[in-house]
Amino acid sequence: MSYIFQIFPQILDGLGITFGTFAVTLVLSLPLGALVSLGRVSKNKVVSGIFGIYTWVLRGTPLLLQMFLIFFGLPAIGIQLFGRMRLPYVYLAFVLNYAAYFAEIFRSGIQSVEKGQIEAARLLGFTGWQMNVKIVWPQVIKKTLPAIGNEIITLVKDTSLVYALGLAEIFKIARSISTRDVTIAPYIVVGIIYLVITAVITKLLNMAEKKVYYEE
Amino acid sequence: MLLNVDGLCKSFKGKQILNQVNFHVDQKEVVSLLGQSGAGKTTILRCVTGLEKADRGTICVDGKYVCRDDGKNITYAGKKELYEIRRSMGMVFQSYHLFPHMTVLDNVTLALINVHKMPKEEAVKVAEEMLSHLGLEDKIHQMPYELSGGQKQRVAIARSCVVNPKLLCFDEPTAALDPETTKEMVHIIRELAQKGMGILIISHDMPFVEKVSDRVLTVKQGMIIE
Repeated sequence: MSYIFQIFPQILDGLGITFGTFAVTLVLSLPLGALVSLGRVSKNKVVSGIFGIYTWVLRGTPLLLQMFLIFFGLPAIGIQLFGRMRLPYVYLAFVLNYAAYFAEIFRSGIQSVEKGQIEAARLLGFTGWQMNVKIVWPQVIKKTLPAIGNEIITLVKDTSLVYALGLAEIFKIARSISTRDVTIAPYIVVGIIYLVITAVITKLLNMAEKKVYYEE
Repeated sequence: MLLNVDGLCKSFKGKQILNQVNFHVDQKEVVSLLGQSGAGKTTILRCVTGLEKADRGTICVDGKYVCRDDGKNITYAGKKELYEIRRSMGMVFQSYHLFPHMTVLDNVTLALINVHKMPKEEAVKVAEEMLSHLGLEDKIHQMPYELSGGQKQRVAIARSCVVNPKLLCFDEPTAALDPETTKEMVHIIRELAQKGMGILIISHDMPFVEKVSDRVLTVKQGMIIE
């Protein structure tokens, strides 16, 4: 037990990167996903096609691969976006990847809003923007919240992938301690930390779902 | 003349749905288009409201053209013009299409506040008056799913009427109503007409349209037989 108390603070040191990756990804990929979903449902075939390819590529290849391609690939072709910093590349890969998943979820939500409601709104004189803000998106959020929640939980666990770029998030620290002390205890600690985080997020998501719930 | 439809033609995928449809609706007048399903009634309504583009013909609402056919070419109202035209018309859909995430009051005030830029307090007052007039005073804060079919329809009527349209269209208003509620609907529609609205009804319910209408036109195979 005392061993666990001893390694616990070391593992917690990595929470900054774990939470940072989680928060930045969530805050940026949700609005980006919303924009991509609007592109996907666009009547303009070129626009919907381009965004279709975007979601196909980003959902069709592993996040780890995308992270490597962005981190090693961009500088290799002379694009130096963030200098020697590693975290911004991670954020970029995560945001682009998660936006694609969110976009597909939002798209299904948009398409599930009754066409008649859109026609009713149009006849009442609403502009496209007003229709989106007042009528379509409140329903999209309600309909897609469970699926979005699922992705958010996956995102918590996916943050462990950043260890592949040598960033010291909780999983990487646990791995180092495990190798150093030849024990699996750090993995158990880190597993419990993930469980606690996902439990809190699940609770928050349940509250949000209750708040936007209405029968149809 | 509030609504004038002249020589309206429409086909879908090469199949002629409407063939030279002519009719008009005056102010304070209730006109019904009666016909079996598939006769083209709803298509007429969709063309009048600009939800569907006519292939040929002229549709004029309160002096403004939804589409205008000079015999050679047909021109359609632009986005802005259509927006203006729609401000003078309302439509009550067969399945109501209320906004399910809003209370009855919000459904009715939404266009007043956002489209007609009425201050919220005033919009609420106007909506409350309209809703109580339709016997919905105790449903104001309920959600659409808590209402019966007849109540939903009255909310849909309130939502369309609250912005004072000159022309109000009904698509199969009695399709989901029991005989008692249908009677009420006759009363509500007659009252709206008395106040000066022109009313166009699409229906296959013969006893209802005979009671409610000033004129009944029969639609058969995309043509009007008076």
